[in-house]
This record gives sequence, C-alpha cells and structure tokens, in this order.
Amino acid sequence: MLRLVLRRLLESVPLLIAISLVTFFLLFHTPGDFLAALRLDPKISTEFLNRETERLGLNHPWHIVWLRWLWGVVRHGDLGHSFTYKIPVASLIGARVCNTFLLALTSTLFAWAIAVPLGIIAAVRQNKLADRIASAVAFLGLSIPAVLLALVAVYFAAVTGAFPTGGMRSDTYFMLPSAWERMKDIGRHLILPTFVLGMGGLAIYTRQMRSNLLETLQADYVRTALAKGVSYRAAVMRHALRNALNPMITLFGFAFSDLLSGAFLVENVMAWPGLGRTTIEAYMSKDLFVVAASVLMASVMLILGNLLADILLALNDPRIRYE
Amino acid sequence: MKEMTILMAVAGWLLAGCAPQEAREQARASKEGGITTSTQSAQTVSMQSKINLDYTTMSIEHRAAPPPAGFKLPFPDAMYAGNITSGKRGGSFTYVAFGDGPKTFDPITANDSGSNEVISRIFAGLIDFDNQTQEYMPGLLKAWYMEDDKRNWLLQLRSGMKWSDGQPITADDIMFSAQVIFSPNVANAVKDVLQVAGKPFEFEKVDDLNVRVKLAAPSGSFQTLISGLPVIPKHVYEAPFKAGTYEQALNINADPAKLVCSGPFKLKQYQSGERVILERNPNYLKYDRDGAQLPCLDTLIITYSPDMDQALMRFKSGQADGLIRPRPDAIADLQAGQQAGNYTLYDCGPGEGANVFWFNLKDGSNPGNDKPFVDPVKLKWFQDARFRRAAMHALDKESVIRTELRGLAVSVWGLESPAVAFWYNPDIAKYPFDQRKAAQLFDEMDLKDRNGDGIREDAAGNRAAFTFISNKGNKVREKVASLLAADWKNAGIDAQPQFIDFNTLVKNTADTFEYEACLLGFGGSGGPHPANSMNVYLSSGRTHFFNPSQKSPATQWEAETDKLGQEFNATLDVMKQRDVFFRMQAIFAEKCPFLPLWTSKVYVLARNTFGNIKPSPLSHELLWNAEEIYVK
Repeated sequence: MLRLVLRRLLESVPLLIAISLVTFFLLFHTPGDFLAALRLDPKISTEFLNRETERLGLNHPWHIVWLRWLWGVVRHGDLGHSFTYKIPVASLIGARVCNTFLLALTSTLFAWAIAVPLGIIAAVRQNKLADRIASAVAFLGLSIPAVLLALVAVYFAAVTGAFPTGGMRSDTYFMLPSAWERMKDIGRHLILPTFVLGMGGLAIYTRQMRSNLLETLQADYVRTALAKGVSYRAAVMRHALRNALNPMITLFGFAFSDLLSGAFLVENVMAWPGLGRTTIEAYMSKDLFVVAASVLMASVMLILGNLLADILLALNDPRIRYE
Repeated sequence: MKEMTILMAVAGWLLAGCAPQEAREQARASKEGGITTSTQSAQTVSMQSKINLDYTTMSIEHRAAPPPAGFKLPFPDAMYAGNITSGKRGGSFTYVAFGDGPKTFDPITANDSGSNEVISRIFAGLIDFDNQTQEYMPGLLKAWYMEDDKRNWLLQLRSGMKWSDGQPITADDIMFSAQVIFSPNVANAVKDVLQVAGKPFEFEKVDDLNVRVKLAAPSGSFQTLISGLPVIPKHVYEAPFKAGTYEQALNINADPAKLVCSGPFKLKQYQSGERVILERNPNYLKYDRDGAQLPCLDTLIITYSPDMDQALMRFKSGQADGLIRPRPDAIADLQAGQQAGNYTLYDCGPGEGANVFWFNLKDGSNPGNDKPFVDPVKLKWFQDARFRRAAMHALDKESVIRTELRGLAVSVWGLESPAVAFWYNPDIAKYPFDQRKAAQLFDEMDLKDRNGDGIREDAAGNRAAFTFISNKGNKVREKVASLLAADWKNAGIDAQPQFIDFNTLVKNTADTFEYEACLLGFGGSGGPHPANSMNVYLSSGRTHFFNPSQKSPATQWEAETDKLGQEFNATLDVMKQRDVFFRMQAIFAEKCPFLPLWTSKVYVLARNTFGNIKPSPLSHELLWNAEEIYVK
C-alpha cells in the first residue's frame, strides 16, 4: 500500500509541472495583463506603469517567468508573491483553501450520510412508496441548479431569520467567550451552504447507490446466500452492500475535487470566504502566481481524492490489491 | 389612473412643501431641462439640495483661523466638527461592501477602492475634503499657504496630535512619508502626483510642526496634489523601511495591534474575504461642539459580499446597516420596503464618471504590419467634427435613459459630472436629439444615401459604416449599445456593436489602437478636482482616449486645450482656474471628440436608527463622515 502511495505521488510531479506550464502559457497568451485596468485610470502615470511592468517581471517572455517561478517552488517551496496583495501566495490562499476544504468536507459528508441509506431503501423497496419519494428527492436535487438553490437559501435565511444570510462567521465572532461558542457560530453559518452544495451530490449518489445495489441484488451470490437461509436483511447488508459500494468510492474520488470547483458558485452567492472567490478575482486581474497556485491546488485535490478513493477501495474490497 | 394622478400630485406637493428653496429651484430647473421626474424620485430622499453654492470661501490655500465661539476643545489645535449634531457615544455600524475587501492597509501603495475604503477610515489626511460642501478642509494640517515667492509652500501641522499608540504626530512623520514615497524600492503611484513640471516636490523640515515644500514652478493645483500625500508614523515604520521590508509591514497579514494610525478608527480585526472590524481610535483629533471626542461609534464593521443580491439580502434582513450603489433593477423594490425595513433610500443624484462614446482619431499605422490604425476613408469622416456632432444629434439619449436605464441616469454633455458642482460647466455646446440636424450635417459632408438602401455613402461609394467595441458581460450596456446602433441606423449610418473581453478592449484602445469606435463607462476620475483628469484633456495624456500619448498636438483645438491645461496649473486664483477649466470643457464640447452619454445616479441605503448619515454622490458615498455617525 505504501508503495502505491509513493508511486502515485511521484507520478503526479511531472503532471503538476505540465499543468503549471499550460497555465502560464494560457495566462500570457490571453489578452491583457495585471496592469490592464490601471491603464484606463487617468490618475496613473505612464512612468508608474513602466516601473510596475519591470518590477513584476512582466517584460520577460512567458517561459522565463514560468521557469523562474518553478525554480522558486522547487528550490524554496515558494509559490511566489501575489501582485495584488504583495504577500506570499501561500499565506493568501492558505486560509481560503481551509475554508473551502471545510465546506467541501461537510457537504460530502452530508450528501453521503443521506444518499447511501436513501439509495439502499430505494433499492430494497423498489417501486414502493419509499423508492418513489427517494426518486423524487433525487430528481429535485438534480434539476434545481445550485445557483437557484443558493439564492432560495439566502432568501429563506433573510425572511425567516433562522440562519445567517451568508459568510462564515458573525460580526461578534471574536467577542464570543469560548472556543465552543465559536465553533457553534461557524457551524450555524455552515448549515445552508452545506445543504446547497451537498444537494446536487446527494441526488447523484442516491440514484447511483440504488442502481448499484439493485444490480448486485440480482447477482448469483446473493441468491445463493438467500437460498442458504441467510435473512434478506443480512444478505443485503453483509454481502450485497459492500460490492455495491465499490463504484461509489471511485465516484467519490472525482466528486471531491469537483466539489472544490463547484463550491465557487455557492461561495459567491453565500459569501463564503473560500478559494474559488480568490481564484476568480486573481484570474480577472491576471494575478499570475495566485492563479497558478490555485490551479495547482485543484489538481492536487484531484490527485489526492483519487488516491484516497483507491485506498478506500482496497479497504472495502479484499480482492483489490495494488501490489 | 385618476388615483395615480392624485397620488403624484400629493407627492409633488409634499416634496415642494418640505424641500428647501434650492431643491425647489433645482426641481424646476430639471423640469425645464426636459428631465422627466418619475414618481420614484418623489419617494426617495434627495440629497442633491445639500450642495453649497457659495464659492466665496474657495481658495487654493488655507490660513489657520481660531475656532468659532462655543466650542470646548481639549487642546487649542484640536479639530472641531462644524455643523454636526452631537450624537450618543457607543454602538456599532455594519456596512456591507460589494467586493472582496482590501488588498493592503498601506496608504502609500494602495491603488484600489476596496483598500482605500478602509484606509481612509484609519489614516487622517493632511487635508480633508468635505463631501457636502465640496471644499478642502484642514486635516492634520491647520494651515497651508504659499510663501512670498509663490513657489514654496508651508505646511503647518496642528500641535498636540497623537498617533493611535500615543506618540506625537510631527513634521518628522511627513518627512519620513515623503522619503518612503520617493524611494525606488516602494512601488507607488503617489510619487508621480507629487511633482510639478516633471520635477518632484522637495520637502524641508522647518521645525517640529512645519514643513516647507519646494516646487520647481508655481502650481495652482498644489492643494489637491498634496492632499494625496499619506502620512504614516515614522517611529513604527522606519525600521522595516530601512530593513527593506516596508511592504510587509502594512500588508493584509499585518498584526492589527501593531498598525499605528491617525484616523477616527483603528484596525481591530481583518478576516480575509469576510470583514474588517474597526474600533475607535482613542487619540483621534476631532471633537464636537460639546468637547466630546469623535468618533461616536465604538466599532465600524465592513463586511464583504461578492454578490450584489447577497449584499442586499444582508441589508434587508437587518444584518447590515448601510450599503451603497445597489443594482438599478433593485431600486423600485428597495423604495417600497423603506418603511417596513426602517431604512431610507437616498437619491444622491448623478455620480462621478460617465458613459462615453468616442471615435478613434489616431493617424498613422501599426509599426508591426504597416496597417493603418483606422481605414483612411473612415478616419477622414471621424476627424471631421461635423460627423461627430451629427452622430450625437442622431441619438435619442432621453428615451434610452427612460426605458433601458429606468430613469436612473442623467444625460450629460461633457466629461465632468454635475455632481462636482464647482468644476462643472453647464453652459457648453449640447447636441440634443434632432434627426433633421443630423441628416443636414451628414449631407453637408456629402454622405448621402446614393443607392436607396437606407445607408449613406460618400461620393466614391464607400458605405458610412463603422464597428464600435464595448466590454461584454454588462447586460444593460449591451442592450443600450443596440439602441444606439438603431438610432444611428435611422440616421443612415450602419453602426455595429462588438462586445469583447475587457482586457482585449484595453489592448485595442490603449496599445494597438486597432478599433474604429468605443463605448465605455468611465469611473470617477479619482477625485473632484481637474488635476485628476488632466490626463484625459491633454494631448500627451495616456487617457486622451481618442488619440492618446501624442508627441505634439494633432489639431489646433488640442493645442489650445494643452495651453489651457498649462495655464490651469500656473493659475493661482481658484475662480480664474475655474474659468480656464470651463474653457477646456467648452472646447471639448464644441469639437465633440468624446460623445458623452449619461451618468448614473448614485443611491445609498442606510438604516434610520443612525444619525448624521450624509450620503454623497462622491466617494466615499456613505462612510466619508463615519466619525460623525451615531446610534440614535
């Protein structure tokens, strides 16, 4: 197992380098640069623009800029400085990554905690009332766009006053007396974004779980188990379920990184201080190194998510070995 | 229908009865000017009447005067707040801002409105600007005036002022700030402002409270230029400056406890992407009539929302007390909710900046491929003022404003906004909608519809057609562009809008010059003083968009404007300066290189539970007098 992890991580290094190469190429070959907006500002002098172009190294060809950046990353683990904020990129996106990660984690847990049981019930009680309800929930979740759901959630919060309309913390967060109170405060802010972001996944997982389980329930070994006199409940829970989970775990690997990018919409509408907002803002202002680092973060998430899925697969299914 | 008329009449009567004299006069003036007043504006609190039209006190310099009688000041040089209502001390105000928050807390390197919104609350300026009277007021300085040679200026600091950590504010701080600004290691745009005739200001410390600024030539804009000099505490930032780590000392990762400042508030907490929490600066220099120190509020919280709907929801649900510039399509809804939400929607009138159209008038060709910037046939038309005037006459701006802009904009004829009352020249050439006049001018240029397809051609058969670019993503702008194109089509000109990425637009207009015409929204020029917009008027300016960065003026009228620009800077009498600037505006209106369209009105929302709310069309629309705001 350890060898698998090491091999995978090593293999991802050239991949990440290639991704950063493409990122830099694209950023330099789309029109405009970091100073574009300042060029239309009558208060900014041409001398200032020239000085800035030189200071930021924008007068060099793109591959030189990329190589220098790469050298910094390899040599010092330095992701560069943000043009806009003039602080190291790592410190800029560090807190944001954690916030997005938190939201992605809770919404994954939310989606899975409901989708798996719901899918099981739907499969076991195929075409009965419970199945119909589960299907209705799933289709509703699939057909409502996340943006709309987010807007409805914000509206709901504003009208009822039961939840905050957005953000991650209250204005009074730092005046709260204990760590427990602070956690509760963040928790309260998490509920609606988690629901909105998790809803899409919930729908997909429910349908997936249902069809996987239905398929395995048809399998010979389940029929054998039932014929041997194993109770239906035990046959489902002990034999069919573990096999039905395999495709779900693979899905999880992709879905997790998907959540990071999907979180952007929710972050925007619900003012969650996540990575998505920083990335878009940096992209719009062509803040090179921030964009590069954000893209890298998303790639790393995808790689780690898949690795995690593979490990979980091995744990779930003793037949799967990577040696 | 009848009820509606009565309602309107009642609303009109109420408005006329309650509003001060100026407002009534202004209402009459705007009716005569053909601007329709909708029922909407009858219900909104209009802030336009508050502009002081008395210019006798305007000057480019300021000499110290004793405080008016009736003020109890703790030290002789303390700043006294003029006509403000004394408010209760304590409480908190939450302002929700559209955006992602500050990029830096450094007043010297900040270049964006998100940062300045916070910085202006925590750093006091040398010279203040009163958004209501639109006059410069003493800030950290109690006086600033020319010495006898008319070139050198003396800056006099108030005595007894302290930084938020209790250290005195002295001339050394000004000297140090100037040193940082002119240091090659600190990238900033201020250094380009603090100069005259291409030579930087020289600073000389006279004593602890006085600084002499030496100029290469007399400058009538000195007051504005020097008000852009931020003052930072030497005793805190000298060490990092010498160590070469100055830029880290004031960035967003800076420890709030170590950020020493001079404004009404100081930084308590910054949460990236969420909010900035400001608290009272115990050493702020401003006091009210009763001798109570400002600010009234204990805390000022600025929360950030990347989405306008979200921001509005926060305001409506009571989680925020103030918001500026709500989306135009939300105005009607916000108006209706005023009573139930216990807030007021303030109509501040036209803001700074304008939507502007221009033709590319640049001669010559691209050095790379020898392709002319503009097709020579078309360039000849564009460079003819008659063509530009005719294009203006062909536009029915009022109907665009009424329909697509929901009446939330005001038609303008020059680049200067009526919001900046003193510098705005209302008597300039105007080109109201007149299809007959447009046709006449085109005919005069021998542009006629020769083949009966509805589009004019010149004698050689070239179709009178052009493409104009605009930035995509703004739905209203896109709709408006098609309305403009339709108007021009009626006049026999085939104008095609083309929507491109903003960055590409900047490249085309400022770098390659390969475009025929452009429609763009100008933001405010960065301050209500002509010195800030000279770059647009002067032919050498980079933002002289229709023909930027010229080595020598291309036309006679541009040469004349350039000369007036120089005269403006050299004139030391503010009323004469105004005449000069009025002439510059008149030339631009007459020659019509820019086709000014309209300026959006500024709206501000604030909860009724706060006092001293004085919204303004100028920046900052709501927080400019944050130190006076109090909880009722």
